Amino acid sequence: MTALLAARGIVIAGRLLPTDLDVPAGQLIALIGPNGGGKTSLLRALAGIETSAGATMIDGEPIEAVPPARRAKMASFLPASREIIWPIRVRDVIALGLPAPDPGRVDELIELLELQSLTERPVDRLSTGERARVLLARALAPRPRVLLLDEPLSNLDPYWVLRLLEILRGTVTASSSTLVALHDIERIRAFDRALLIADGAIAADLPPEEMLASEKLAGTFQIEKSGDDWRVSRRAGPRSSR
Amino acid sequence: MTRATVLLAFALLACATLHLLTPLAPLMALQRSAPVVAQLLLTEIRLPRTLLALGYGFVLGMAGAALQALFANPLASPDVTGSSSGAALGAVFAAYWLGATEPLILAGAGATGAFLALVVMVVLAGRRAETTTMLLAGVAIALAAGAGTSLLLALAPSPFAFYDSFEWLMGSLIDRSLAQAAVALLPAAACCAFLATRSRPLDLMALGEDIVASLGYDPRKLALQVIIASSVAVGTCVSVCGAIGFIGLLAPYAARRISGGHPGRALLPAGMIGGILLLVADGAVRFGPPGRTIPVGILTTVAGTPLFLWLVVTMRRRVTS
Repeated sequence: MTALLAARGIVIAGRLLPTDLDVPAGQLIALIGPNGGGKTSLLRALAGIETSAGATMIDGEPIEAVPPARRAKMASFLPASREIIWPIRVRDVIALGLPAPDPGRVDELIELLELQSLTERPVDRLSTGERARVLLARALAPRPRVLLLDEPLSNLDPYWVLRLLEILRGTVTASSSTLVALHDIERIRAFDRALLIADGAIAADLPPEEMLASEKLAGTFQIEKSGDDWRVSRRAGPRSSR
Repeated sequence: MTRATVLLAFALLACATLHLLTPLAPLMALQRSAPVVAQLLLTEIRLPRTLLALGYGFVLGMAGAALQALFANPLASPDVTGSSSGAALGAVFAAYWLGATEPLILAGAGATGAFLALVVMVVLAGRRAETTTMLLAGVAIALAAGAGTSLLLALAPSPFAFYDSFEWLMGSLIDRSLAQAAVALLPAAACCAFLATRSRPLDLMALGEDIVASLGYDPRKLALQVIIASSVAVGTCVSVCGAIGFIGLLAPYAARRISGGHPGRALLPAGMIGGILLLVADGAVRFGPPGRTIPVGILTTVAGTPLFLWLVVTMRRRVTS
């Protein structure tokens, strides 16, 4: 089977070591790892935002060479930053994600992310959690083949964390895949595959249950299982920081 | 959005026509007594002034909107970033120290000065600078360029440099020839046409540089394009008319009310609003005390300051709320 996304030797100098990754269609993938370990760098390199070397192919086509007109449908990136200073209406922010006007699609997303009461509000006046949902809707809008989301679950209340996990599952189709960076390791159970990113490289690539049981995960975060919960590992010294 | 744009275009045309024909009485009187002189008055004296008011105002509005979109900062503008002051410094250096008289060389020097000022601002503050950092860097550059201009004039070989340059540097559209207007406005028009093509990526800049890049636009290239185009447009106009304040700040603010907050889509309306503002301001200057001319740059600054202060207060309220 040919991969939907294939990264070969992608590097960001100082942040991401040469990395290969294959993502077939139909997968919901979690990226976990310590702060500064390289999750964001990997997502940015896969989105073709920044690379010092190597290439990411989507359907065999190098992403960086794809012109703006087709790019939105291939890959969509959601940054961790939720900042937006201009008073653009919620509906219009979502429409910015579309390569051509499509009011029907915008309405769909407004319903999906339960933004009905906010559609006419300027986005700079929303709470961080509300803005997060609007910006996610913008990223989902073009129905991209590959969705690359940096911490979409942060700043959300428990209802929205659970709801979003359902929505993320819904983004995965027979011809598309979704990669999600997150911090709450227990949440990776809702995913098909988990990547552990540490020290600028993929340290482990496992099914979620195996990842949660792996020594690698415990060692990387310097935490250990204690009953149903996790606790700081007592054996370890100070964590390595890059 | 489109209807508002059409209305603005009509308003701009109406203002330009009024500006050109007001006052009508002497023109009509001349038309009866000496039609050739009337023709000359219209084409050689009034037309350049009208074209400069329209064009320079348009440039300020559009360049201001482009800089605000690029830096994601509603207080960025040719004057606040120090770009206008840099252009004045460049033009003064070329005029009084290199002895340049050719309008094209002065325009080139103005554009270079504006570009260097913007580059220094970006180096000092960074491309995604906080509003305060950008303001501080811009103020520093404007002060330094202003002092440099005064110093160059004070030490200039010509003892009349200060006197000569008064009307010019204060921002005035009076007594410019059609050739001077062409030197300022033709490159500026090309730059504005180019900026208009960058409207989509500048809209996307609202979502951050990473999203712009992920959609296939190079943010660094975009930044360079916007900085060069706005420097050339503003620099050539400053070299002919001097620096005119506040229009580049306020026109984009008004234009975003029309564009639904979209910073890129505000470019064209901002240009038209800028043109209207400068035509109106330059029209108002004619009603000053007889025998004295108030440079239009002084008027826009005096009128613009309260609006600027109001903008600062509303921004503060938003930050603290």
